[in-house]
Amino acid sequence: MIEISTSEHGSVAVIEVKGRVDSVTAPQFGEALSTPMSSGFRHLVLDLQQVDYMSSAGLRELVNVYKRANKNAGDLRLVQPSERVQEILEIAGLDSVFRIFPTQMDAIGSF
Amino acid sequence: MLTERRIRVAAVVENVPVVCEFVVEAARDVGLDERGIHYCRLAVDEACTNIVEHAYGHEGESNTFDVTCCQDDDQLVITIEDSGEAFDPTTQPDPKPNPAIEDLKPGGWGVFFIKKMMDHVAYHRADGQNVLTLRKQAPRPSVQMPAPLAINMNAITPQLVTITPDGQIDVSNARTLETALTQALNGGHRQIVLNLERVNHLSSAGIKVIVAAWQRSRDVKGDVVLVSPTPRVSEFLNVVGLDLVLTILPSHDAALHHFKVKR
Repeated sequence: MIEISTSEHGSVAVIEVKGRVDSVTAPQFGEALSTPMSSGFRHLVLDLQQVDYMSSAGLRELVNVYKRANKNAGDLRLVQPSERVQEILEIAGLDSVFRIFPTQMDAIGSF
Repeated sequence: MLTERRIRVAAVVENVPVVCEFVVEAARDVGLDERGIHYCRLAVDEACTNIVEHAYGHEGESNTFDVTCCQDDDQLVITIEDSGEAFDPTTQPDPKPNPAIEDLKPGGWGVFFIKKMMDHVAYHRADGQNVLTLRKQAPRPSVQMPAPLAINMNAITPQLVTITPDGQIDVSNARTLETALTQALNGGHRQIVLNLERVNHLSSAGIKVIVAAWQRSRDVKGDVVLVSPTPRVSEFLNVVGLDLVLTILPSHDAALHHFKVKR
């Protein structure tokens, strides 16, 4: 199971996720990412610090939301992926697709 | 040695983590390290998710798939069998790395991860079944006996100690030198004469330990000086540039003079 909390910082929605993102939890993960967009947020920050596992099911949601945000002149930016998740991003060849920041403040300030 | 284990589950997504745990446990028993275990989890997650989502075309509940774990030498062998539509993951094209946003497709990584994470991936179709075999090698234990190293410590004054290692200093025994240096510093000896005349080989692991001690000694206004390195060690000290950082002296007396100790 995963825990998700969302907060608003001006025009930026910050989503914090905790747990494993796999094919069981990916739908919940994807929904948490797309809900702020549906309520008008184009700028999304996803804090991955406490995600210790992500499979391709999670990446699929990331990419879907990233594309949707960019289509609306917004962006999805990542904060501090754990070593395991960073490795997955690299292997998938997505590490240069996403903008990755060391802290939430940095990511929020980048918009 | 892992005895063969088999699990059969209904082809629904909720069972994928169950199968992953089953494989993780087997991977532990075979002696894989944490990274290898993580890789097995991910590969099995991807393979089983594919079965659940594609092989049976959303009619998974009435179907099952089998996962078997066994050990071959120091490899974990994972066999995944399903009776769904024929699918050979080994022939799938790899996704393009770092694509432009317009070329970015949400998918295609699952099979790629399996290939990347496992040491060997094989597929065959037999009796109407997809049989996917994954292999992951356990790390081979490096049985390295520490090289012999004797260390002689001689406190000359309450501040000054002479440490004379005898033997070669490499990654296998650098800890021994580290312990001696730490003991000296903890005991208030901030002036350390490290006599290297009997050290026939010094590796970077040894250098690291020496530099760490030197830094600690500097913090308490002391110093670590090297004395009488053999030509081979001397050359290495020059190559790594340590001769520019540390004081290297030709004799023990010169070291005592350096610390202004009267004899």
